[in-house]
Amino acid sequence: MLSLSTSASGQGLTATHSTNKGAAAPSLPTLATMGEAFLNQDYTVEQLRRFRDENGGIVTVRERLEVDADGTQRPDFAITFLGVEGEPTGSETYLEWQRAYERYGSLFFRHGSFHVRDLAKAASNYTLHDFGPVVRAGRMARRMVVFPNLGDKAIWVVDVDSLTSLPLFIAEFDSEFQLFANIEVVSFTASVQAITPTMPIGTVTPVADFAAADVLLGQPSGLIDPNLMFVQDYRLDSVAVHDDPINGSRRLIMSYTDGIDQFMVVQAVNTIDPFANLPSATGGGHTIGRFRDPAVSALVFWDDGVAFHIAGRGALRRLDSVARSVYLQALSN
Amino acid sequence: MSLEPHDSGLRPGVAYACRRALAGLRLDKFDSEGAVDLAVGESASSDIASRGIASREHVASCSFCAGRVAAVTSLAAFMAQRPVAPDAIHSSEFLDAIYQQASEEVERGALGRWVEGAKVAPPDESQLGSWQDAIADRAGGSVESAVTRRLLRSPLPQPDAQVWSGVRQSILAGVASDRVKQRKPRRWWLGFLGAAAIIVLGLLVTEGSSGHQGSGYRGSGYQDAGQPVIVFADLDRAPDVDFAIVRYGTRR
Repeated sequence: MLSLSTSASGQGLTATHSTNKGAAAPSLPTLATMGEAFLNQDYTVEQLRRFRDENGGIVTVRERLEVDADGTQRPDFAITFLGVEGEPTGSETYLEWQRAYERYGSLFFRHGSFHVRDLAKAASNYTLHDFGPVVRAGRMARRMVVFPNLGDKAIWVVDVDSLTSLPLFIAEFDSEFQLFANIEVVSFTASVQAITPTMPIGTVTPVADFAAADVLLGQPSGLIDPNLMFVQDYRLDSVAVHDDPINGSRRLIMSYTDGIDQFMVVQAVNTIDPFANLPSATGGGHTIGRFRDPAVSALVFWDDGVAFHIAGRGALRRLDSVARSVYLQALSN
Repeated sequence: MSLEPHDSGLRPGVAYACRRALAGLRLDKFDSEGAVDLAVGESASSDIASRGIASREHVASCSFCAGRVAAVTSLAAFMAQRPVAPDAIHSSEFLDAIYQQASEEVERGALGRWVEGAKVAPPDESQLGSWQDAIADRAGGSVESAVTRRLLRSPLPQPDAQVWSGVRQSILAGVASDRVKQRKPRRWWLGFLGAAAIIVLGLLVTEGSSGHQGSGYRGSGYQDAGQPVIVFADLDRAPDVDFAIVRYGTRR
């Protein structure tokens, strides 16, 4: 069993925490109560997280998640890989996913689930609909549908715990009701034991803004502060510098949110141009590589030693305009 | 000459002025030196003649169009001779491979999905004879198509001259410009198209001068003078970005 713990503040052990730090949730959840629960409610869950594999099939991974809320959007947490449903311990698939959680487990918690990242933005960009009571993980819950105001975003079905307003079931659909992500809680405890932080794979340094990240990265010439004012329903959510210990690469990751959805602008410094040999490059053109399937939109380009990655959900086709705008800004820098 | 950025694949779009100029050329006429003959025929109507003159003037001043015309000239030299049909196309295995590929593409498409999802009761096999016999009866004694029979039993050493002429013209037109097609002028459409073009250009100029406004996808964009040329190239697998890892768990 592999355990990955992350402490946002860098501090270590704490005693067993008390349970409910916030007020009792009303019977009908709201975006505000769900957002507050994420900030203030400790919990320990065992849940099934489902991924789509390369063949279009479903892989179900069992994990344990322990969250020590601290009133911020980056609480202390520990995510533990428990196994792959239907796979024996030690199989090739089991080991592959064990390595994935060892390396990327923190991403699954930070970016792979549903929570209200900005209440004001969420309230202006989404509507909440009640679909009645359900029972989930042996607890009373309320099925809520979070519906976007624009068609290029995901539709969320969330079973919200009636007592704590935390999600016990999350399903993400696109506008054609294709399922892309699913998390199902099988056991829930509204408390958390002491979390033992372990050394993370790579170093993640959250910073206040681009200027701080620029200084931390040594002010490389190709790094830019993206001007995305034209994407009015999104705002800058977080800025962090990532250091990869395997290949020594350093990246600036800027996340933007509309309250619930996210896309990222990643700038990897000291990289070579992957499109240097394309005909468009030799003719003076500039290339943006684009991968898009129903689940992911990812655009990559390069300028002045910096590789840019822009990624978000597959339906968010406006990322093409975002990539083009950022590229033009980089070229004019 | 600047190219419009294209939002699907590597092939860039062709600017309107160049597209119009190249469409006004006669690509099936060559001069004594083998170059594309830009002269307009005496029998051409005044509209075609004036358009041809405008096309020649544009080609003379535009390096992009001159390059396209030069490419057509060089390619035309190779295509002047009808090719010899390879032996492979006269084999049944080659034709079977084509049929199989076509049927697989249909299976993967909308029709295939519809057939798989359709609730169809299986027929009573005892009432059916050999399906091959049934098809053969309708086909006059063979399940092979008329095309197959002709190719296998009467192989042509070369494609028909008229057919090859059409193929040659199509290829040369494609080299010259994307979707260039010589049309007979229809006067009553010109006014409508002109008005629509003025409206679209006016919107583009207005929107371009004020920069990006609001959110939302703006399609393939537009090209202002002096702006870098940006081309989108589609990738066959997701790049190594955090979001893709969140979606798929590992890199695909």
